[in-house]
Amino acid sequence: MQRASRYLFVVPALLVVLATAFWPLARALALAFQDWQLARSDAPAWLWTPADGLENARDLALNFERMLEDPLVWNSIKATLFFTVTSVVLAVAIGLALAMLLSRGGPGKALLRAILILPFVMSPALIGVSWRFMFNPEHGLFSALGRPFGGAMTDALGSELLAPWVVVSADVWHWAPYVTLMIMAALATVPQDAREAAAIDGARPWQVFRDITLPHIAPTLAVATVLKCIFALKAFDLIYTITGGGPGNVTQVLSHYIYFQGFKYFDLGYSAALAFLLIVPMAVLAWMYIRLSYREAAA
Amino acid sequence: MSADPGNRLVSGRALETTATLLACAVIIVPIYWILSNGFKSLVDVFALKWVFTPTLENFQRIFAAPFDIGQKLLNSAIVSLLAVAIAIPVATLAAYAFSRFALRGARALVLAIVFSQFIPPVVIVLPYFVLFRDLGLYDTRIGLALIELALVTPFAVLMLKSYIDQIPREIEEAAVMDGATRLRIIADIVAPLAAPGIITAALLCFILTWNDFLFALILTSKDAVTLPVGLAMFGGEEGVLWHLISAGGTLLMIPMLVLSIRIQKYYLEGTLAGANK
Amino acid sequence: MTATPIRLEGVTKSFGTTRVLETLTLTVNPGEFMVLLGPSGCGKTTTMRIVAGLESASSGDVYLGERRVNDLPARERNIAMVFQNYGLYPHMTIAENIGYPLKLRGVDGAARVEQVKRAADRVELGPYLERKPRELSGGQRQRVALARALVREPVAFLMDEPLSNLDAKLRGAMRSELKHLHHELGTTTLYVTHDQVEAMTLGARVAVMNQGRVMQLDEPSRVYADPANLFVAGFMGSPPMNFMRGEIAEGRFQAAEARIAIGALAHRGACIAGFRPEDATLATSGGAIPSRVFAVEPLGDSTLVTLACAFGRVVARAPKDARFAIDTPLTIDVPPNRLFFFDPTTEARIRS
Repeated sequence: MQRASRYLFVVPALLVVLATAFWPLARALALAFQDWQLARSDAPAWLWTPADGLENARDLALNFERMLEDPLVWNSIKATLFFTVTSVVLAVAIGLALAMLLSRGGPGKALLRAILILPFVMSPALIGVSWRFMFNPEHGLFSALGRPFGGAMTDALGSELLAPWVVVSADVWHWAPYVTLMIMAALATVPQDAREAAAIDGARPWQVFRDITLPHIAPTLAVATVLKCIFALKAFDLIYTITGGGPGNVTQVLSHYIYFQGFKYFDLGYSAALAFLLIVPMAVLAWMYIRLSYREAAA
Repeated sequence: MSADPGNRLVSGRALETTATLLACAVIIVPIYWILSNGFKSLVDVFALKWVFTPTLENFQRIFAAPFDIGQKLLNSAIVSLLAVAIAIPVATLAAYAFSRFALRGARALVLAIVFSQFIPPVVIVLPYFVLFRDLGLYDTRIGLALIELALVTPFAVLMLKSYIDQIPREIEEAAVMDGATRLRIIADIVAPLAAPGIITAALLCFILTWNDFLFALILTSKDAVTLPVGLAMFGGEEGVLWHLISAGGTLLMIPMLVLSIRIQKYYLEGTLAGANK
Repeated sequence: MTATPIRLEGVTKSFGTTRVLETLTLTVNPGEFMVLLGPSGCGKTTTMRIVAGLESASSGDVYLGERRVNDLPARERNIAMVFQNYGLYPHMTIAENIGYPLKLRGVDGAARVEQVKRAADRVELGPYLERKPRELSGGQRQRVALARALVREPVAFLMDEPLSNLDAKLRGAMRSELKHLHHELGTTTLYVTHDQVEAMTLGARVAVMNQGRVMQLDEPSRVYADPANLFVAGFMGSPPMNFMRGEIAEGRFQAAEARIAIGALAHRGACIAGFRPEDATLATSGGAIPSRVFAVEPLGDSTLVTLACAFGRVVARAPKDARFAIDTPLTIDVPPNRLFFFDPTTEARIRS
């Protein structure tokens, strides 16, 4: 096969990726420096052009200046941090625990292993709706459980304190089993010989875990953590369907606020500027993921 | 969770079993919740009954106007099938090339593809919202299917590449020595051996697009609305419609539950079945 | 069909900046069974792959018969190759595996069935035609690979360590089968291995390779009995040749306390002397090399005695009943015509 025609194999995929990932990224980056309120105009206008004179060059960053003073931006950053940190820590910890649990036989393990994939294939939108239903104070699951014992159920979704935790619980339910599967695969590669040798040398089970197992699965744990961070930053469906960003904006993470500005207020320029707040951490995480996964020279 | 040898064996085991069963329950309960409420009549939902007589009336209602779940179901199916039908062949060719051909700059291209997975969907949808309106692709199934490609193509390329990497090169070299052309090798040797991987990738891509919410939310309004978005639209009035929402959720969930049986084999095994050595 | 020779002229091969083959010139005569022998990384497999067309030469020419094939794609060279891991198609039956080359050439129907059967019978796989590779043992899979190579009449066979994945007993049986097969078919064959026994028993000529060069190309018995350099001398033979660093002076070779009479040799000065374990005679006294017993390994058909000498350790092959206590002082003697001398800098053999 000719050298040149080999490239034809990859051209369609590259075109797709270019069109559906890199072009939007570039366009969004440009939009951040433009003013475009869809309700008012049909086309974007640059916030500053050379014709406006150099002294007004600062106008280009108008959207970004607005960001600095927008209290909802800081609110979103807080909400995002809370969501990301708690969901990642919980998902990885529970994932690891389940993986260790499943690395041994016993009653019920086969069942658990079989159903691990289920939360992953559920639509996050459906999970959101489901959680909203379950936590409904009148008709939800927990009322059904509590009713026989008398007493009403608190409206968790209406509480600024509890609502974020409800959202986190839905996200952890969705992702922890997937992390478990990842770690299980890594555990399977831990050399049996090394573990047996350590046992013969006198190591106790937790020492074997710390000195043999853990170093071996550490790379996978790292990748799982980075991936989970990325998924947490991307999360939108859950938040939209469980709380819609509320109550009182307490669960309005960045991706939701970006959506809000872009498609409720139709302020595309500002929305694009806000997107930077997501893109930058995502790029860093992507770089970390690539470093961790592709350390081998061969592509 | 660590092994407890000897004297604490019994209580250690009991703890483990409890933890396992608890985990199973946590996974099953939300799923069962939706399923069971889908089949409950409104009265039973309000009464929070555990034991109930199942009914199909919720499903009948949502298939009728104004919910038109049937239409949304069809939209979901068409969009997903279309996206997968494009993504898989495109991804397979690229995956094969990355795996077998030592292309100059292949590494950079693969990295670019990996990186593209990490662009937040909310960023992707912004320009397309405008573009689709200008092109008349807004609220169409084709338009939505094209954007869903953003979600699945990079993922499919990477997954298929790692799958094809596992097919020993020696088999292809043997075919070369036997006299086969490159296309012949792909058709006779690689495709049959990669078939399980291709099917798994196709199923996963179907699941990803079927479950997608954001793109469908923004790029459709009434004609091309897919099932997950349709569900969320129920949510306007609370309480009264929970049983209908559950019925809709059941419809959304069932295909995924069925497909997951096939998918899970991949995650639990993940190796090439064909023996070589 | 007349047999085709294989010829390599000045072939070099580099992967990036790494030079893997150095100006290789080699001819496999028509119908000859030639073995490329050497340790891993010596370039023997690369050489074979260049002949096959799976790799291209960085420079130099490759000829199949009279035809220069550098630019001819592998699939058009009509060469059959047997791979180390067999390279069977896991999703096809044995019959389909064997028949694939025929299918590619448009041989269909009854003709194909018949030819497949003939090839299968030749390797005694007739009853297994409908099985899949994973149902067969290693030895059987090896024979399927062989049958697939046999089923058409190629101009040459290339075999890349085909026996290395078989256990010792099976390897012996397959060696004789291969030898007999070659005798029947007379096809030019290039065979790669790191196993000396295979090289000695199968090859009409052996090319011993190291670091991308041919160190010696000769009949197996000559490579063993008349090594051209230090590498070949040390590579052939199990246990390997014993070496002593010393010098030739006053008509003798001396190294530490060893003093050995040598035949007529013009060379003077530093050199390396070698002798094979089976040429050493052990005695309680009177020999040229003083030593102490380090270990004794009875093999059944002979006894290997490792001895510690001033310059290092030496292995001698003693009669099967010989037994010594460890630390027994013994002397080693070697007849002058069984000594090999090598230049310490060029490592070439000193013959006069």
